[in-house]
Amino acid sequence: MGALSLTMLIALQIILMRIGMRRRQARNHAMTQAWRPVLNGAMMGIVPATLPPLAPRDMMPFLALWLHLQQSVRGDASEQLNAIAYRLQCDLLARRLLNQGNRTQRVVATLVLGHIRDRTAWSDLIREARQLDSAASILALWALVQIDAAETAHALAASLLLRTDWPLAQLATILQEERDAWEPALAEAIGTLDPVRLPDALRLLGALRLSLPPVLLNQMLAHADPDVVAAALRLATSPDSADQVRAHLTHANWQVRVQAVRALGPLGQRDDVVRLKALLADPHWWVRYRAAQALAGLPFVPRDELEALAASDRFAADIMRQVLAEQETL
Amino acid sequence: MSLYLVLVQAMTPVVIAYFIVLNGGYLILNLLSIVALQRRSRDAILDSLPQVYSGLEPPISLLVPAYNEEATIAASVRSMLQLSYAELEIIVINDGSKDATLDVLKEEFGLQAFPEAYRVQITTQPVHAVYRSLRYPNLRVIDKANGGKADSLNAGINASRYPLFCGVDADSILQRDSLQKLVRPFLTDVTMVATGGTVRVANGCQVSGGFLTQVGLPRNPWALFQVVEYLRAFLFGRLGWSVVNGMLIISGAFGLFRKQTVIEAGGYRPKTIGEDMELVVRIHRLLRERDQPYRIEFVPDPVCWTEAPEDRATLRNQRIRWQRGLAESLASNWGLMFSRHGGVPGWLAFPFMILFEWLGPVVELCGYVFMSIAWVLGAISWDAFGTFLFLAVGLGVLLSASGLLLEEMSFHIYPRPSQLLVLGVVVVAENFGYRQLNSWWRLVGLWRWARQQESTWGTMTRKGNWQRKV
Repeated sequence: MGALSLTMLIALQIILMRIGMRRRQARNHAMTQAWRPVLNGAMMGIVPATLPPLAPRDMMPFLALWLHLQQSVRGDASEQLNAIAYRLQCDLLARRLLNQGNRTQRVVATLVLGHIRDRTAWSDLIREARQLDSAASILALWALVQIDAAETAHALAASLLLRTDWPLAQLATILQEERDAWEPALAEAIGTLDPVRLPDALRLLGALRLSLPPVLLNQMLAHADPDVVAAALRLATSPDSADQVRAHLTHANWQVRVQAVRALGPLGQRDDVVRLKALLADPHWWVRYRAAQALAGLPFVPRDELEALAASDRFAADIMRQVLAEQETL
Repeated sequence: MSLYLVLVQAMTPVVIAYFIVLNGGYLILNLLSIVALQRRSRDAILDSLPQVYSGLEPPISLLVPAYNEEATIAASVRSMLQLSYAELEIIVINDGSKDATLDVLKEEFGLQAFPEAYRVQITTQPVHAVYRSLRYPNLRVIDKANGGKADSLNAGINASRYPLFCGVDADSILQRDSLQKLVRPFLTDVTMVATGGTVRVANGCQVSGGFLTQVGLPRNPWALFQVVEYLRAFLFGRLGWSVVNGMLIISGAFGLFRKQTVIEAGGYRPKTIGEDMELVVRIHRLLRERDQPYRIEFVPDPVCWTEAPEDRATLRNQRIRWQRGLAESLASNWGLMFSRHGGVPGWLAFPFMILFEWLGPVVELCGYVFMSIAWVLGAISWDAFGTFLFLAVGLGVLLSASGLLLEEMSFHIYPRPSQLLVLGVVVVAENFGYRQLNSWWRLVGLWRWARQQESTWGTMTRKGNWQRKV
């Protein structure tokens, strides 16, 4: 009987959930029908004198709709949406939800406060950014960057480099529009960072196309950990680093050699051709491939010299033929 | 008391206990899945917002093994080219097809022979040529000697350039954002080595341009039974195990792997039928032996749709193949069971699979036969026989109903009340005949595995009307 009763309970639960979902959908639909034209008009600068009524229970779906539109626009359209939010006192609601809401409400509140750049929520957002919940905390970082990028960099650069749970891709998306504000703070934080965290930190800098002060970069390029050196080589874009880059072409770790070859490509001189040709015989495929690409990219290496390489020993010939064919088809 | 009666009295509680433990185990998985789905629902609002991508997400190689797929391969590749992901390469591996698969690909995508410096990281059957599309720079085709699906995937791994690869069946229908969903666990956890997504039944759905445009239920009863089966298998079978990092199966139809881990494990094992499961079990075993921290995670979002068999013979062959694959996977990784560092996979998931999935059909069918004979001969009472039937069928209905509940809690894929009603009927009906038939087919699979009959590419009678050129 137990199994039968449980099955009946499950059936009842499914029916109740379906009824509840239908009701929610109908309510959300009505709210969207009333508000979407208003928000669309606002984005084009047409703001009505009086706004449609909005029941408290419709506030969360409304904020979801508002956020949906905000995520798709910039500039004046975004400001007009902010104006509507202020008229509805969404700033007050968001601050309240950030402190008292459940997890979903706090996430929505964080996004709203970021879009309206509400400085009064600063300390609450800092608290959110420091919590362990990866998704919620990185959104709080985003909101803080919207409010004041330089101040956020000052407050969070060091702790940001310690967060292994924040995806690099998402961090780069958040910081890339405010790279200048973050460059000095990140460089300073890297100077005092635990060596274990250095590779990820350097990869973030590389992703943001930021540079390190030369002294610090040289330290990283001379680091004992191959992961640190490989990550630092991504930042070695200046001719001043060329000698250190060349020194790593024969590094015991193939990942360092790959990054050294990549770095040398744009910096290469005539006498680097011999070094790169030697790497066409490297035991690791990626080193050979990047060396062939670097050679093919050097403006002073004539095509017939590359084709001669493609007819040389088997290792070099295979990879050189592939890279030349790629150049032809792309 | 005769020996016969002693046997009956001893076996009756064993059979009943088996069914109780089996269904109890699944109910615990069900509870774990509910927790996981509730956790996931917290981020539903974020998923509903437009996503911003930096282009720094790890690039993915999509590997598409193809054997005699001339009718569908062009449409499949076209839909894969439209997947929404920052950096993606598609590698089709023509596994010595006897039809015009390669010619179709050459014509449709402007393929040109390409002097690829092909790396042999895993030994495969000889590669005849590598082609590159003149129209789509991220599309390559490997033409190789026939070696089976596992061998084709290995060739694809050798040719792939990116750190993550995703094995896809050529006839799968993918959600446009499927890779974005599948890659997420890799972004937040550096120890992630593989993720698998939910596969759903595409029969009855509308598909346009290689993408699913409207969800529907099939009219064919065989396909309908499989809709409920897939709900149960994915929403609490795999999700439940994923919560405790004990998932032993990632569907070959759509799974994302860290390439280096797979290469270190030796790649897919050629000449196996269940190459997808065997690889995952082997990864568990090897990483556990090394005491290396790792995660294998299940993404419950419906990311992949597949055409289920609509006739008895094809379904039977599929299930026989699956059971053989399961047996191969477990038998070749026996070292994981109760191993020193085995953890959840070695101490829970593996024994569970052995007891309830591998031996399940034997015990289940023997249980039905034994209890029926015992009742007919009057060796057990109607009460005992009724209790057995109630456990076997009643708990089966309960489990299927809970699969439907999880679906309703999370994705609401089937929006119409009539669809819910049909599924409700199927939840009950599948326990009267279909489930037992499945057990019989699985028993045949076990028998064939025991006889070590050679494996081949599975033949599948597909309709796939949406994929054919008009």
